Amino acid sequence: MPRILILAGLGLVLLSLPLWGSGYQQRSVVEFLYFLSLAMAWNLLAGYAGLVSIGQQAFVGIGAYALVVLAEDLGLNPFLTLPLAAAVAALAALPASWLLFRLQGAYFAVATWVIAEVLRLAANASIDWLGGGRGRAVRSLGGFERGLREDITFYAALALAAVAVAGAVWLLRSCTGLGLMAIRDSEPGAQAVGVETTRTKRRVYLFAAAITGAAGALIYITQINVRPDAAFSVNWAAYVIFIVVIGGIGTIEGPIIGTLIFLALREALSGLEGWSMLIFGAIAIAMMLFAPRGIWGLVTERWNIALFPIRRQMPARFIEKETT
Amino acid sequence: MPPDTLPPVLEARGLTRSYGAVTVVSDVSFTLAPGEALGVLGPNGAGKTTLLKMLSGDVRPSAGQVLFAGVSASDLPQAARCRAGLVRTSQIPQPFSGLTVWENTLTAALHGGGLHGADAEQAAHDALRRSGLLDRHALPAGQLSLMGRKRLELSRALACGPKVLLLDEIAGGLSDFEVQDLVALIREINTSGVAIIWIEHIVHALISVVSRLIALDFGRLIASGTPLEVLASDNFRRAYFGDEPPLELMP
Ligand SMILES: Nc1ncnc2c1ncn2[C@@H]1O[C@H](COP(=O)(O)OP(=O)(O)OP(=O)(O)O)[C@@H](O)[C@H]1O
Ligand SMILES: [Mg+2]
Repeated sequence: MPRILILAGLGLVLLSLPLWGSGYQQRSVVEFLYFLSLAMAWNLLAGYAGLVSIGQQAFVGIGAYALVVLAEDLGLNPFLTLPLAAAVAALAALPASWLLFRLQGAYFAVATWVIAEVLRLAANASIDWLGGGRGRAVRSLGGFERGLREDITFYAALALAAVAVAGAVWLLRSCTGLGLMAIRDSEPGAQAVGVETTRTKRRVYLFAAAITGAAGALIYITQINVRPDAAFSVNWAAYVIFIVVIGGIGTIEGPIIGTLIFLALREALSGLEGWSMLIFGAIAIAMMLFAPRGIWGLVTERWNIALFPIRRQMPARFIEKETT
Repeated sequence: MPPDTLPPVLEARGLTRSYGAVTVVSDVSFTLAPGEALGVLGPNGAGKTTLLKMLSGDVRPSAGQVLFAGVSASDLPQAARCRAGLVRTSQIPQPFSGLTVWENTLTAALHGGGLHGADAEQAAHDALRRSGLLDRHALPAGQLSLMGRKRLELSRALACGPKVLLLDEIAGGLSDFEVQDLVALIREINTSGVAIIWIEHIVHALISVVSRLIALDFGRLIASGTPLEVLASDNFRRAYFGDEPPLELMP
């Protein structure tokens, strides 16, 4: 099975990276891993559940502030806040879903963004507790020796991305996954074959929120300072949409490729300041027009490969019965 | 026991549906015996699809109720009715076009059929074989012809394990040969014990399967009985032909 070998080799390289890589390489891979986690979560929503959110920064911010409150106010080890940040984000996503799932298409998208903006303004206003517009720092991170801190951050990022990818693959291969893809292709059809559409979508929405929340906490472990305008910035949504559209929406491989391309492009365009966003936008639009299935779509058109097979095939025992 | 003395598997009681000031189905009642095949006729816009959607649970009645196997189904959402064996096919086929024919049918077996693992696969395979799609199991559903899509609607419905199958113009838009194939398939499903309510404009196809007809016009039940009784009734003739006598009515 070459697929297993590729994945195992990749895993070994990543696991051993702190032993041989430079600090810069290590930090770059952390960035890759958290963008990948964010992209995987958004891809599940938009690419599989048909829930096009432009407000996932709400959960980045919630995760970031969960980190601040849990680590600074409650004195928890900042790294142990990651699973808790995931839980807090999922908990916050539940009432949001009651509201959002009454809306369709563009209304849904705009409402996700409105919720994120409301949270951003609320965090800006809370001077005493969350530090208002200037935000707060996670001071307890200063208690870790720098090398150790970066190594733990690296493995935490690796664990998060592994959960995001494996969770997505597991979900999509399950009965829920088929239900999701059915909803994406025809919601009335899905209902007609007994798919509980709202429950299925809610399950995915909560999972995506949890991953995004944990990623938010992780991002601010690397940045230390949590400011509301940055943590709840719509840029998080914009970057992630770019990544998924470029890589290939509705595939597991797409976000991986998209994240690589995004980080390489950002590096190449780093001198251009504001212009880089414009270029990202232009590339994304060109991609949607000329290759709507993204780079991975172009690859699978030419070669029939899948790094993470999630599709179901009729079992061979039925095919043999036909020929005999 | 003959079918008409069995307790009904499905019953409509005074079903009514309004959109704003317009009432599109008005006080319709009928029963369906287990294993029976009932045809529904009516001009375009008579309210047939709306009636069927109230039975399957995707449209809420403004008044009246649906009884399935003797108990009120009014509070059951569509997915739950499907799981209980009350399954509808769509007038416009709704294939999951990004999934294969196999995945389409397996989704129905897992969700509507409530089956797991090998049981679900067996049910999906049987449904595909019965609906004549087994050779196309690996084809993306979006690439199916119209007839293929109609077969897929049936295949998915069968994989849900129906007790009552609600068919909405499943033969519409097909050639005569295709209609014949579909009629044979529907007859086979019916004789296997599945009760059927079938809306169809193609009268000769319909009455070659069903033993009883109801006719709707402007949302009202205007005739009900054996096919001959209904087709010959004054109400039915008026609904289709106005007051002019038809040149040739009987198929
Ligand atoms: N959601 C809706 N809102 C408003 N009016 C509706 C709605 N659904 C159906 N109608 C109206 O109700 C009437 C009955 O529609 P329905 O689809 O039930 O008819 P039908 O008998 O199935 O017709 P056909 O033979 O053309 O399929 C039509 O006039 C239609 O325009
Ligand atoms: Mg209709």
